[in-house]
Amino acid sequence: VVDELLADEGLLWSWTVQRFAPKAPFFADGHPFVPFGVGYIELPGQLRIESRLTTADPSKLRIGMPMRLVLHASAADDPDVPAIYEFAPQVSAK
Amino acid sequence: VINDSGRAPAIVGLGIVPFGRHPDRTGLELGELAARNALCDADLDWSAIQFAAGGSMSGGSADALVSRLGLTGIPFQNIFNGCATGGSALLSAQAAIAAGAADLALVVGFDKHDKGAFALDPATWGLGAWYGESGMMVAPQYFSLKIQRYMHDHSISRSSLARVAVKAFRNGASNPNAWRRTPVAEQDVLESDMVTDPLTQLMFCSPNAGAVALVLASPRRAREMPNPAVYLSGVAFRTRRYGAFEVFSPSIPLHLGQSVTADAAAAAFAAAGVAPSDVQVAQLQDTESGAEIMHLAETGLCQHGEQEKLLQQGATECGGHLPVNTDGGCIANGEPVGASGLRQVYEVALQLRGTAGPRQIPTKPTVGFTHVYGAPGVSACTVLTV
Repeated sequence: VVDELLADEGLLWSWTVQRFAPKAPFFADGHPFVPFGVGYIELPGQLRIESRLTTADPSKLRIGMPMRLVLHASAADDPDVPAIYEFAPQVSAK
Repeated sequence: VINDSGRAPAIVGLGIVPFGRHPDRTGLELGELAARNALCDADLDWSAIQFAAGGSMSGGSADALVSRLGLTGIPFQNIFNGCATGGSALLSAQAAIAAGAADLALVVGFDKHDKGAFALDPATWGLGAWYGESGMMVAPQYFSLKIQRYMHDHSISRSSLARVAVKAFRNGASNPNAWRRTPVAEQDVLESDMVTDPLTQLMFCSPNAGAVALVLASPRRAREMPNPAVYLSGVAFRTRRYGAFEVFSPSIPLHLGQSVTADAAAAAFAAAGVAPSDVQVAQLQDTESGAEIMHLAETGLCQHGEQEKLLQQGATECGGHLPVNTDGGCIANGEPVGASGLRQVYEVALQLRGTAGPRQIPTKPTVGFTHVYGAPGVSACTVLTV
């Protein structure tokens, strides 16, 4: 097995929104469930990685849009929340 | 031709317990009832059965049925392969008959699940705990991500997604063994709660309870039986290969390979010596309406992208040229995992016998096909002929 560093930018290959609270072992942080986006991000020349998305708003998601890696917000603030990665829509220049 | 080769076993007994909620019965009781119904249909006593195979996810241990059916000492294999449990059990029974180890065999699938989506332990599937904690180990997400991309690539409309569900409920309404039997309008399906985009609540099946059993006979023995024989001309069970986009995949390669569904379908057709274009009635895994659309093409029953035209023309209705999920499928029947695949075989066998009642395909089909798909990328298919 050879470790390979994956790119932190890619293109949204597909997406959905998880609108109901998954059963355990989903990490529930004690707050009411908030829907979250899930997608596969195509990392050019590497693979497509499954990831939570920073937005759950379908109007902000379209197949083929550029995405970038971020750390899940509550994980960054709270050491008790498991650290997970997310992808965010890249802000367009125009 | 295959029927004259003397090798394909025949299905000579059909037993079912209506799918739904059965608060007053245990899973094993449901399995027992289905087995007794199948034996009764074949006009056989349990003591005539020489081999049995079956399985259940949440309903109990299939071989424990011997304490209810009779302690005759026969081999009874417990089989569990998720949604492919029924197909896997059929494969064992077929092998036992083909090997000459049994002339009469029984397969049974039963289940009794709690309400709602399944709670899954990532370790069972060889995945890290983080995957479950992250909220990504949810089967509806997979089907949604797959159909979302498929709709983009093959121009499938939301109307077609809804039409699959409308058809399921209409067919369910004419099936006394189905669970959801109230017809719904296309608009109602589209406007029901969004579950995982683009799929709404009425497009999904739900876990419930039910049981199915089948009696299989060697071709020689089948000729002595009261019912017209339905031949199990081909049965195949496959696991995923590298590159296939299957459920619970934290990553997938850029160049996607053939799905496990396509592999299993091709193997079943090859075993039967039948082409997909010969199929006159099909039962396809419709965990949700998008799955039925994608599985239509993956099994070879149509070309990728052709589904939009077929659905808008009504080709997959009971009166169309390619009837699909004539009993209402998983959407109208619900999904007791252990029983689901055998329900498909039960329905196609009824259609080939010509005794499916109000939902009987008028052209009296002679070639039928069944397909299941499940975690972690398994599929089982059968080709049935008369």
